[in-house]
Amino acid sequence: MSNMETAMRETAARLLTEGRVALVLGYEAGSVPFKTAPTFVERAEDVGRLVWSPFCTNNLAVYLPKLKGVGRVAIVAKGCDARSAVTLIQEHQIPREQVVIIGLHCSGMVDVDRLAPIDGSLAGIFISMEADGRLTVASGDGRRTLAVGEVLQERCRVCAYNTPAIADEILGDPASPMPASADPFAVVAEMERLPAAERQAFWRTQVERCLRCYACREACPACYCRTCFADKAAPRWLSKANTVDENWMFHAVRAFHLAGRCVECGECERVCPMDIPISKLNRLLDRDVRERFGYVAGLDPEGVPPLGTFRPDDPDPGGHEG
Amino acid sequence: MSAVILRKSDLPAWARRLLASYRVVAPVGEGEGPVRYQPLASDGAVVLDGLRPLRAPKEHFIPQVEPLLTFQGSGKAVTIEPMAAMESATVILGVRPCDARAVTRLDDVFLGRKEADSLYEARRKATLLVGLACATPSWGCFCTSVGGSPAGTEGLDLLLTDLGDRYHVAVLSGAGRELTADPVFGSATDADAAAAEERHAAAAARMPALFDAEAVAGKVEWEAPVWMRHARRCLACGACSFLCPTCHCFDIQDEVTGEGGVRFRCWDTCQFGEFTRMGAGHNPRPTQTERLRQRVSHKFKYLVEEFGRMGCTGCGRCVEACPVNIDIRSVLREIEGGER
Amino acid sequence: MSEAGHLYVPNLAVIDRVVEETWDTKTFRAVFTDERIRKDFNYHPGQFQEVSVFGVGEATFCLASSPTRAGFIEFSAKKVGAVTIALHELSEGETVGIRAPYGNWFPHEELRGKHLVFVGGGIGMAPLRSFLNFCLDRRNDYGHIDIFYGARTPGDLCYTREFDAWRNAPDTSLYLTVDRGDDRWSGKVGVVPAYVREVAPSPEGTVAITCGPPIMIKFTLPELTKLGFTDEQIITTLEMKMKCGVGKCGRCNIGSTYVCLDGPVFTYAQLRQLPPEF
Repeated sequence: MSNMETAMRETAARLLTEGRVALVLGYEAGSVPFKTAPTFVERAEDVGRLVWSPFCTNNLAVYLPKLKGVGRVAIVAKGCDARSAVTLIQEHQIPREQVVIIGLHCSGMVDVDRLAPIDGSLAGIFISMEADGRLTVASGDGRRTLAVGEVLQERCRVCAYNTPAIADEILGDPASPMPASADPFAVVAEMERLPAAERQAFWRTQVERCLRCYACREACPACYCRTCFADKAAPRWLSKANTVDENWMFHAVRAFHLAGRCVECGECERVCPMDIPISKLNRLLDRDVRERFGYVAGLDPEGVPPLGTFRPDDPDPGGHEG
Repeated sequence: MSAVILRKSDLPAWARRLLASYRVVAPVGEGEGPVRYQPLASDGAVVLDGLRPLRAPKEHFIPQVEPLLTFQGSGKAVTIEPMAAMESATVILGVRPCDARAVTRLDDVFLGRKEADSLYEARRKATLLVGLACATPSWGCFCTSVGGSPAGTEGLDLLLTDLGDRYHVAVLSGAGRELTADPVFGSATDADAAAAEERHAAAAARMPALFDAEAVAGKVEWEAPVWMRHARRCLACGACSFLCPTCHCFDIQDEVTGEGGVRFRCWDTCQFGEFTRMGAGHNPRPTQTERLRQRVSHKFKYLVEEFGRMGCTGCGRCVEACPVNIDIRSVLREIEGGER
Repeated sequence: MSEAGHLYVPNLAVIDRVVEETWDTKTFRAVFTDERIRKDFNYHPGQFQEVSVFGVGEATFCLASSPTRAGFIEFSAKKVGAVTIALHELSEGETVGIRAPYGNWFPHEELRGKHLVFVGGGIGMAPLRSFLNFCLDRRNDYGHIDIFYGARTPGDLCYTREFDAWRNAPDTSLYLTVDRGDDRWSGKVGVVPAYVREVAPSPEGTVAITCGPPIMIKFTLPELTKLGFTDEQIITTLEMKMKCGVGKCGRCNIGSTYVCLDGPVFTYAQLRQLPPEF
């Protein structure tokens, strides 16, 4: 991985020195070994801050609309992040020429919850990367070495886009396909096998915990509305009270707003402090959009998300009677 | 301070007997999602080991949604009915020291500042706190950096320390003593006390203080690069505030149901963009930079100026919940002048 | 101030008069439904209230009426959000909730014997009107009164029905100005701070009281200072987003000062001590 880091820093330094970009959006070391933090590098002498590791989970495209006015921005982008950038370009939130996509071949991100430390706590843990790419996790009580593939985030396991679909530069060696990329909608099929009453009970239990902190929405690059429907006061669509019904409305409506636009980066689910499996909903609608419209989000900058446009020959299952 | 012993095997019986006279709230392992302090059912199991629960017991003093009044009718014929204050006696079991200390900070605002909030006061007076000393810090924990300890007693009526097969129970108040007037409690020996001390010291040793929080209050500066440096990546969600055991800001909203409705208060956060935005559009805290400055300054400077004590007990939930790794410990170390 | 329960219970009041001040501002007169409250309700000029439309929500308004005129209270609302939109749709006879009075007030006792200079802009005139009418009702308690009031256009001026009463009061001068005139406006055209500079009221034994949009305050303060007014001689009332009005909800703080408890009235000397976040 350190080759990737070196290449990344050289690329960033070059783009900044040549004046091609005003800012490089990347990752820096976090406050603990198993976290990185989004960083904004504006001077070539600061590129040493940039890191690359299986803990670079954030989708940095979320910052692109917020950086309007800064000038041209370079973004360090995994496959999912690059697709988000494409979605923003499609929707005219950023002009294509105002963003330089530094694509990275990605072998997946670690699910920190699966690091399963010895005494149940990640406090005081050390993590080092072996030469073969495996991780050694050490704490006061012991150490173990494991392959990143053993502790992948679920959204990485099923990812079919770990090679960025679009990039101005691309770094790293081509990565192998992810282990379950052939069947990204298995989790949807699993849900659909449950009877409707059970599915409803499942979701009511899940959203009952929702705090309406909106971490899911704020971490999502596709959620950039200046005033979200959930916050509108006049008319008021949604109550601020976090009852099960209102919470379900929030998640269901947000999922529909994302249908055909979500790139399944999984950040919504990762950032949820209450462990609500939000991206299951997005995945369901994504599958439906693929099946009905033959469309995959975030691959073609000239593309238009199907629910953002209308064509007379749009599929209409069931017709007027349906 | 006197102490008694409770065998672990006797805990369920004690909890059931408490249920006869109190509403009992405890960390309940429900299988789904993080461990939370929730009302205990008569057949419920209390989870008294592991890390501190992800949610603080603050929702039992300031519920996330709290009805204030109902209203009926319109035009000239409007009637309102204020909600009565809650009266049911409650015991919260397994409160971690950081969370108990946090309740005393809520007291400062809801009882101490100007007029007492009677809704909060009723809950507070009706509730006893039975604490559990922490053995293992979570990765975000930093209570020892803000004058706290994994075995702190501030705000507690009893403090349980896990000694393996039994709990050492420190009796900290008259009300706490009454709770232990139950045949399951036996006397504690000096050896028990020493064992508890040893556990406390071991837990504290895992968390050396990272900064001098008292010094920080004097070093908080209005114009300083620290704010933007950390706030630039902030997503303006409410994860930190809603999980924080001392954060208490709220909004007041109306909800219509049929011919009438309810007015309630609900949690809000200074981290949301529209928190201070006025109707005509002016916002004194227009970016995340101002909002992070407010959050940190409020907890480590303004509340100190007002009440003489910080509005943070180092529970570390904000550190762990932040989607972009804004670590308040790093912010404070930078303010203090230490390494970044 | 309600005895029935907790801090957030409003008293019911009926709107008994609605005056359209401008295209987006109305002044509402409300009368408490409880007769005892109607008789006993007292307040000071400068205090504020939380007015609610049941089913929509609560919003903060200054008490725009003067306590010298008993039996009713008034507030002026500009249509900018959910609650004010709902208020603008109310007609006479409809009920609102009122929690009041909150906050501190213009130090009318200490200002007795002083000359006063009111400087208001747009709807910022509302809290000033409370104190102004108070002073005019107790005219002998105060010295010379200058009133500077401006708005963007003549159609944006509030309280036009009271201008004659103001300009005709003994030892009282009214200086009206607009940023842009129209073909019926024959008065002054120009910004309020410029008019203050032109008239140049003396700071001798005088206190200035100002309220208006941030931009007006920003340019008025230096003008007053140049005229010789000290920071203690300039009083303003701050507009902040507020909710509970009683210092609990955490919304209105500037540093460790809560505008709903320690304000909204501040001298400029006090404001200089606060972090610049308002």
